[in-house]
Amino acid sequence: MTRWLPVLALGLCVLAVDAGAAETRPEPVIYAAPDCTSDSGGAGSDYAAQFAAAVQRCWVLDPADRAARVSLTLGFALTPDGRVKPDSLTLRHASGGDPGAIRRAFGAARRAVLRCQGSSGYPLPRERYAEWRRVELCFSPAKPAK
Amino acid sequence: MKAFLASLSLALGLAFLPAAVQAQEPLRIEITEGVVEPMPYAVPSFVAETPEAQQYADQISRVVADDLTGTGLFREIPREAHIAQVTSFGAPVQFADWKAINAQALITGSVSADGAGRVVVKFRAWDVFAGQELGQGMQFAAPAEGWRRLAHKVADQVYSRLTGEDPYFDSRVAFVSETGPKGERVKRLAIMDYDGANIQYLTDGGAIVLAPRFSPSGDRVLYTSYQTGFPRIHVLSVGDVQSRILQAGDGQMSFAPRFSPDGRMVVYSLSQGSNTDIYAMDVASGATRRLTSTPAIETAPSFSPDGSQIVFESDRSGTQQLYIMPAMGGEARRISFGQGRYGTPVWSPRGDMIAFTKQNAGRFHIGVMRTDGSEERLLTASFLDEGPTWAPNGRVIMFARETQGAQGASALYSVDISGRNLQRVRTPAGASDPSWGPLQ
Repeated sequence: MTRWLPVLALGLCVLAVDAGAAETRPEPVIYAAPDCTSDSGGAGSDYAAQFAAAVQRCWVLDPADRAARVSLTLGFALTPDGRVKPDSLTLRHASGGDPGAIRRAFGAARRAVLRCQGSSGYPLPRERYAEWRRVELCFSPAKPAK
Repeated sequence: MKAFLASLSLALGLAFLPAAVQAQEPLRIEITEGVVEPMPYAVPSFVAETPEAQQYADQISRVVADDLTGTGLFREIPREAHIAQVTSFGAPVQFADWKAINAQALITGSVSADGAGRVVVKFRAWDVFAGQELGQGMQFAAPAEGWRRLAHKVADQVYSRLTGEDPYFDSRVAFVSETGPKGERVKRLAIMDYDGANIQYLTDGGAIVLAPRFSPSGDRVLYTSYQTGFPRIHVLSVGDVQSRILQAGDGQMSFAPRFSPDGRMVVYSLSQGSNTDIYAMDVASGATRRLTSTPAIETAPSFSPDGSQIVFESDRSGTQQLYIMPAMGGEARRISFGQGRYGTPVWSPRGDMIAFTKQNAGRFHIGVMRTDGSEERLLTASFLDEGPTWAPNGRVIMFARETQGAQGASALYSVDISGRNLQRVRTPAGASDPSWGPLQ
């Protein structure tokens, strides 16, 4: 269905383009999960810090956006060669913003995880795959962004 | 409650899980610092669907890119770096090719012209790394001379989808155009697109004009003119460029006008003798009401977006400071307490902040503060910065900057409320006193 909205000044009109079979973007589903507790002092501490640093380089914040104040936990699965399984990305927890801000924060976190794996995946120790095959990344914009 | 029950269920569930399964807990990592950098995006030249559309296709996609990049929030990936070529609007997007050049967002579009002077532009926006469309595709149509507005409309949609903010590209700015040497400036009232294009002059320069202010609907502009020898407030209809003087008594100087959010009232300053107070006038009836009554100079009133309060400047404390009072007048509370002098306050369209001019230690600044005076931040500093005005979405501030010396000239600049992305607005001559109008 098309819908025309006249704008008087220029006779400007708008209608939705038939998107055909294009995918529609699902709203992030928020699960009640506990806040993320880092394993930086646990078994994965040797490579977890490198993993965090790699994702951090791609986590882009807009300090004037309310999304920059949202804390969220992103859950996902990795293949043995360190690649993210795209369909596994889920929002596990979010707080500190309205639904719009959470949606933008989720998008920024998801892009960070997908972008920074590059073409070869994250450099993680294959022999310890059982430890990192599933990951929960907690994005807490507590400190001022650089 | 739902969250609590879900947490409880999760906790109970985990308690009864076999030890082998519990051992497969996910690796948990916390990240506390991100980076602040523009998001890379790509806008291939829009596809011309008809021969007549060729001249518009590249121009429209160029303006879309200029709008987005101009915010400082996005960085365009040059077209020379594109791997994929978009030759058909309906063709599947080659996400791998756009990922390879690190484009996080992609805007595709097409333009057609119907031969009767009408241009139609379609666009779609894509989240490249998610491999998904951002919102729904849309199309806009307008007479050919309105092609820049079409481009701004597309950019507005993309901006909102990527940032979640309300848009502001399809808006206009009223300002004072300045030509001639410093001592003999010719000042004309003018209107332009927010990016400096499509300038339209509304007065002929025969009289000095000051401080234009758009009405909330953008159909009228208030300004102060010395046409009669005294400063008097005029209201000009943008549609037919007709103006009239708002009522004022003989020997009275009226200036610094601003509309109420519903456009029915005007608040302004009135000088009688050595005293200046703030008044409100019903535009339709001309009935006036005095809102302040002190021996101090009170001026530059600006309504809150809900129309319930007015912020203004006053030297009642001995120095020029900012105050807020009820819209009908009454007790005012001071909100500025820093060093220096504060003036020209303007309430944010979002209602949460006030922009102002500050003079301190020989420098001028444009700053913002919360409406209770907290969290003051200075966004600029120069020889002379003054007269802030908010973009319709409350995200960007435009102001006038004058350079020092006999050859000094005034120009318009914009800055993001984060203090980043200071940019000069392109105008063909000097410019001052900007007033950002509503989204069209």
